[in-house]
Amino acid sequence: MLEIRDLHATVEGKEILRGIDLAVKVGEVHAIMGPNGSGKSTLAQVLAGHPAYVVTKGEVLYQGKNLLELQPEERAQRGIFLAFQYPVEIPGVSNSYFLKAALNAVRKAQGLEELDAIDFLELVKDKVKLVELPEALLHRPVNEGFSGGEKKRNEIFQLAVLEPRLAILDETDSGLDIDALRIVSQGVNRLRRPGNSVLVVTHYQRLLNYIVPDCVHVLVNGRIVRSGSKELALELEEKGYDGIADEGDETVAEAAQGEARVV
Amino acid sequence: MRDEPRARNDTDAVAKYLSAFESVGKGSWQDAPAWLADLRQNAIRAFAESGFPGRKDEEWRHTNLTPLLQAPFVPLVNGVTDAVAESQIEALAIPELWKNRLVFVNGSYRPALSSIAGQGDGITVGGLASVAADGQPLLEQHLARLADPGANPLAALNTAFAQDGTFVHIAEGASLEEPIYLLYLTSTLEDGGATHPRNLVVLSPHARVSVLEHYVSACAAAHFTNGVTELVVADGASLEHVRVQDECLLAFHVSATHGSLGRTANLVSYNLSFGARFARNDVSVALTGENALCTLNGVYLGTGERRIDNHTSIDHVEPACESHELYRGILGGKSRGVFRGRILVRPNAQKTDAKQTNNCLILSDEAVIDTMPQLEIFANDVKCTHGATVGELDEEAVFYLQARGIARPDARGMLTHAFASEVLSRLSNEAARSFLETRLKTILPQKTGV
Repeated sequence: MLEIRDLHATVEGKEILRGIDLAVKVGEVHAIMGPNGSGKSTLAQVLAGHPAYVVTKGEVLYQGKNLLELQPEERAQRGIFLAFQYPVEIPGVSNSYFLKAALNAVRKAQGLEELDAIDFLELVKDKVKLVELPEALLHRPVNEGFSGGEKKRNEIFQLAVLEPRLAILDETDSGLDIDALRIVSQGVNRLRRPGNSVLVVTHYQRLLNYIVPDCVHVLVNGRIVRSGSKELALELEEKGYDGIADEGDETVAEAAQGEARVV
Repeated sequence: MRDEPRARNDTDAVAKYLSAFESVGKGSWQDAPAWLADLRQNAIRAFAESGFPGRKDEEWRHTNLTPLLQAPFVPLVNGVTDAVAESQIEALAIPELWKNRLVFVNGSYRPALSSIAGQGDGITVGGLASVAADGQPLLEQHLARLADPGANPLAALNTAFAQDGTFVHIAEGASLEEPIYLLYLTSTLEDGGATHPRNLVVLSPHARVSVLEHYVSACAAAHFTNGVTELVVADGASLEHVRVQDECLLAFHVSATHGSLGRTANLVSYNLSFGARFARNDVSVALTGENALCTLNGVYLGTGERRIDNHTSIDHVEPACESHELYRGILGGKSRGVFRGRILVRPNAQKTDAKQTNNCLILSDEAVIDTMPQLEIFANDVKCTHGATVGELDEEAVFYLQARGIARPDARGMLTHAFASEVLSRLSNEAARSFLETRLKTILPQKTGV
């Protein structure tokens, strides 16, 4: 599904990603964990194609094709979905109008017939229940005046409607109370299909109690310093990022300390 | 001291208007009462003295009138039959508002095309000329009181040349649920025709109504519309006034809207400038009773080499009045816009709450907006804020839409539309709102830039 090789990326001239290697197979759930500022969100934004992030080296293959040469909308049309850490407010555009336009753009690109207003409403009715999103929010401008939890639910609601092949969840758990976390994760789990993959970017282990990963990667200072099974997340919870780093090689320990100083 | 002859480049243009008044203007309104004939005579005299406003007039120095002066605009003498007008109207009017309408073609009132449901019961709606001929006392009491021909040469021209217009009176406590729809259609094949529509809306205490003026052209000719509307809103009365200027892109359009609000009166004004090659709109409101509330909304669109100037003035005369102002512009191509927002708070107007916002979206490198807030505050216990933003689309929002599969040009188009639509969404009438939203979609590029 996704193969990242020696990926380097900068933002405003500052190198954030310093050689990432990662492979996510069809049907797998991978978690990227790491301290603040380690590059987790940068990786998510690079995969979605944010223009502020410049790839300076390396390559990303998605379904065997070069992802980096595609515009953000082309990536979305081919099944990549980024659930934003900070969903953007869009005054003047209603949530349902926006989502219908998005869904039809994706369907059109995939050679499917566009949905009319009635079919779209039918589809949306089921999906709002999945994340317990109040229906009234459909008619409000996108994310405007939504609470933090509502914004995150709205992201997962969009995910449910767009049914991507590769979902990237960027700190979807941040700012959620335990009930909202459960609702959001259950939503994600119900959307899992054998043909789809999920990349979960998170600071904390608790989300992974609900969305159980096949693989956990620890990202420190722009590099993956350890990869392992879901137990690695528990180890992290216990020892902290410094503890994990100490067991690795020297550069990793330095990197972690450097990071600690920055924080 | 010797009188310096006034340096003017408008002598020829002024002479043309003066001679047009002798040949055409004077002749209209034959049944007009004496006071009205005097008013018109005085107005043309005032214009003859002042000429067109120039660079030295503070109110006008940002508006270059040269293109208007170069073209000899003479009052249109109607050559359009009602049958032709009717077929043109169908393509241009807001169908849902058809129940209560007055139709004007090339400046003259067409009773056969007009119909007002619910007349009587304190509701009077009609053509200004016939109302004047009937001796309606409110006309003499209010006409040209707010729009002073001595203060605004263009308003003076309107006063002198107006062939007709709309008179609305809502009696004390009366109200009309359906909006009053006023359609001003210009239909001419030749360049150089002018109309000077003149409207007076009087709301007695606690009256309530919504009035929508819609200016359209069923032609592509360089015509000139010079409209004046006076709004008298008495104590406790409530008026929604919508002015939609959607004329062809060769048209010149000048408008002055003057309002006066009594105690606890409420005025919500929409000034939507969609068309015309040259547009200059003045909206002036005086808050003359305590606790009056005035909301001025505006949308202006510029493309190509068009020019759109909006000048607003809110005069807080009495204490504890509120004014809210939101104007939004979208300028592309080489278009130019001016927004000048004056707020005057007089010494007596304590507890004034005034808020002014002008946001302008610039879609090209060559489009220009000059935005000028002008606050003159002579009271000490007031809340007055103003804010202006000039900018491009929010790139984070563009990316968010792209990340959901919406192509970049479509995403930009969607955000551009939303920027204006936020103002339109405040309109009370659903049908008018949806018509104007659709119109906005047609006018604005669906796909914008790169």
